[in-house]
Amino acid sequence: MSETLSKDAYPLGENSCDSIRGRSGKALSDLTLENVRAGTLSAADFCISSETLHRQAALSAASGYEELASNLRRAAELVNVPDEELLDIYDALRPGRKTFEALIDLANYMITEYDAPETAQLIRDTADNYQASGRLLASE
Amino acid sequence: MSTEIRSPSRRFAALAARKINKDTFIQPWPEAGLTAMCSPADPRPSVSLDDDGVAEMDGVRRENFDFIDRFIARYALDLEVVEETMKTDSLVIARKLVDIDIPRQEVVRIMSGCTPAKLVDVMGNLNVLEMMMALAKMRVRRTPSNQAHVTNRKEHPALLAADAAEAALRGFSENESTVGVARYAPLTALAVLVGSQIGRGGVLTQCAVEEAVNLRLAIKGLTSYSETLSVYGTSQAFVDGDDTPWSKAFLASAYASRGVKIRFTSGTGSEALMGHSQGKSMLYLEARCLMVVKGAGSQGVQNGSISCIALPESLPGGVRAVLAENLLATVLGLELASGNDALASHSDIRKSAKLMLQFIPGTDFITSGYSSIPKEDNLFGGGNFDAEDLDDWCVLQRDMQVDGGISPIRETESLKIRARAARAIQAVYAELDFPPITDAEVEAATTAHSSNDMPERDKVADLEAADVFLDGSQTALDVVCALDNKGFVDGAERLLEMLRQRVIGDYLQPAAIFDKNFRVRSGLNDANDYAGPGTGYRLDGERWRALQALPQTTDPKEIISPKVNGNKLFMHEVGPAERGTSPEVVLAVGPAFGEEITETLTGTRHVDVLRAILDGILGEGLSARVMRIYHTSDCAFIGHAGAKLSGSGVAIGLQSRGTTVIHHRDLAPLNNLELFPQAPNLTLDTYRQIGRNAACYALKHPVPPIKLSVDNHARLRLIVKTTLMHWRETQQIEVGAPPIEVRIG
Repeated sequence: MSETLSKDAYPLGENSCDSIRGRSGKALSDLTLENVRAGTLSAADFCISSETLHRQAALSAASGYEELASNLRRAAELVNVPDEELLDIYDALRPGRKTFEALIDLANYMITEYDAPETAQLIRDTADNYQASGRLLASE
Repeated sequence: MSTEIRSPSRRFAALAARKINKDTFIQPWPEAGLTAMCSPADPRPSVSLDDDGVAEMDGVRRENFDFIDRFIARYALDLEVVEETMKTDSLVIARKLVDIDIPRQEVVRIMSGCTPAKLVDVMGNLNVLEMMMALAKMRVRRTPSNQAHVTNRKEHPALLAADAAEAALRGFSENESTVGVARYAPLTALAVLVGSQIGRGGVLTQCAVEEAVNLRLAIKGLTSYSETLSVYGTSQAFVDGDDTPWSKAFLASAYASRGVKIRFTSGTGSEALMGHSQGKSMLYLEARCLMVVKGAGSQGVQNGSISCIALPESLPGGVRAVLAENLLATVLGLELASGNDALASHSDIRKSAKLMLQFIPGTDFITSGYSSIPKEDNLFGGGNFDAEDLDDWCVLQRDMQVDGGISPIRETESLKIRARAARAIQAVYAELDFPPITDAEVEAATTAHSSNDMPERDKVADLEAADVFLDGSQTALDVVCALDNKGFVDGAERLLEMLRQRVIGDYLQPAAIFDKNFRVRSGLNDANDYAGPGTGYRLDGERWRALQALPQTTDPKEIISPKVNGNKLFMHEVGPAERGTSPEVVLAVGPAFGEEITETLTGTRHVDVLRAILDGILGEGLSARVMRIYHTSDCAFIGHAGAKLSGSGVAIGLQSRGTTVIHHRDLAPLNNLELFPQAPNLTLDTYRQIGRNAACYALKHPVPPIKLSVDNHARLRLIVKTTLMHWRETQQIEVGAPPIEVRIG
């Protein structure tokens, strides 16, 4: 998903607050102290959505921050990965933790489970480069 | 060890005892990585491309790339511009950095085609002044700001909250904390979060701990940014840090997926310290780090050697190299938190001088952690600038009209905000069922300077609560409720706004900070547009007024208030003074003496000064006449006017502020027999001696000049008052009026 946005759309919090929703689908305008008091909000309502991260990525790119944009697009793919799993994936990518095959499996899993092609590409790249530089786990 | 050989020269012994000589200075040793900007092992810049991308970079062919080379070639090097940039002379590029007519964006574009060796080559053409000019142009955010460190040795929550609130009030945009005991992390993060938001809405906070815990704190909403993501310039150093550029890139995305701001950490010297420099210069390795940071998609970096700072500073050109690494971050388009955090020298002169390299140009965060607490409470290992230096910092800002990101505050404001923050964390602890914070602890935190002023807590109970909090389901949203329930509605609203902002994500953009109204300011909407005089960030208007208003500033009109009191009536004017015919000493006083002004600079009463001088004269058996000079306020001319009317030709000239001269009518007005130019060094005893010596001159008795003890700081201390007293004396001048003889009554 790639979106083009004018630089002027930034900050989204000032210019597009009506259209921002959290990961749970709750509108930004509902994230009020009244609703906290009423007990209708949970911590999950305060998570950034994939859509908003894509918009931020588009804004980064529009101002020439291409690498940051790539990072934010990967982040957009990761919003639905549970917290503990996120830490597990990070650990898997540390040096010497996984075999080449295990990393390729992880990349494929990111696509089938989370529709995360850019993250998958980063993981495949990791596998290739760890293979070339001897940073893989020898065998499982 | 320095006592083994004593310097025969007392001068050298005095120098050896200076603080600067506690620092270590070494000659470069490239094989051990101990060279700042240029090692024989540093590669020459080169690149060649083929259909698969970068075939060769900085003298290394693709098949021999280590994983950092691979990462840079794959993610950081802009293949669209690399050939254009690499064939451009580094000197030409260096000139573009300081050319005010070449915009920042154009420099960033060109620099995105630099290999690491090319980046270093460009820097080699710049002296520190040029680097400072380039830094002013190249930093991401137009408005400079600063970050604070908030920790304490007792890990006391009330003190953390109070200190965080005070730091927020002082204008720091980010408050960073860390822990001595790792398990405290959730409670420390909580106290700093609550305190910061009570102090000022919109302050970003973090608690630097192990990566996994760090991420969990962020996910709970207890922190809003992280700068723990360290990178290194050699693959072995990277692996010793149990990471690679790929794992760090993933981690960056993981944080962003939770709406958390990150910046990476690098800095010269770390590879040498870890024993993996491969004989390369510190700056070359840092250039590799910075390209990894950019390639991983981090919005920014903290560098400037950080905790290794004393290592580059041991080398020639080390401080220049550290400035070069700051500049490199900005030319790669990265937010820069520019070091100045860890203790860099024993010498205050050296620390301050180094600071100017970042302070004057301005960076996104001038320090990547100003120790807003006393050094002994700094759990980062002691700050380069601590709580005790806050006033010095504010004065430097006022001196140079430079915004260093710290606002002066008043004691009453501090006490108020500290008390409120301590009460707020007390309320949160009560609501979340943590071990209670007592009223006595709140009061201690309000007035405390350091953790020495704080009572001990039950550490076992606190740590148990910390474990439960980290593993349990409570989050920052529960903290919002706790504050709200206990009547801290403003705190609850601000904390909630911090949580809303992570849904919006505007602060994930480069160099983002919030103002007190949560208006985001980043490289997207506050882009640095410096293009020479009259452009870019200017410290003026309300902000300049705020930075001028130091609490210790006084109204000069109040330094010398009118002295109308009983001392005034001791001089009676009897009419124009005649020229004397008998042996005598004339005592000529300034136009304000004893009337508009009744005390000297140091507060000695004029009546007493007059008596002391007359005692001295009369003691030698000579008579004296007193006259007031109206046509001048200058000490020499007052004395000379008196001398011209003196029967002996000798007179004493006395200004109201106390400055004195012994004069003779045959001397040129600006010559003298003896001059006492610094009134603060004069006591009543000195004035008596002045009278005695003047009498001796009149009697032609040989006499040695008066010896004075000299206070070297007198002028420094009293120059404003001196100016004001002299201004008032000058106001009393009556042009053309003759000297008037005065009778003392």
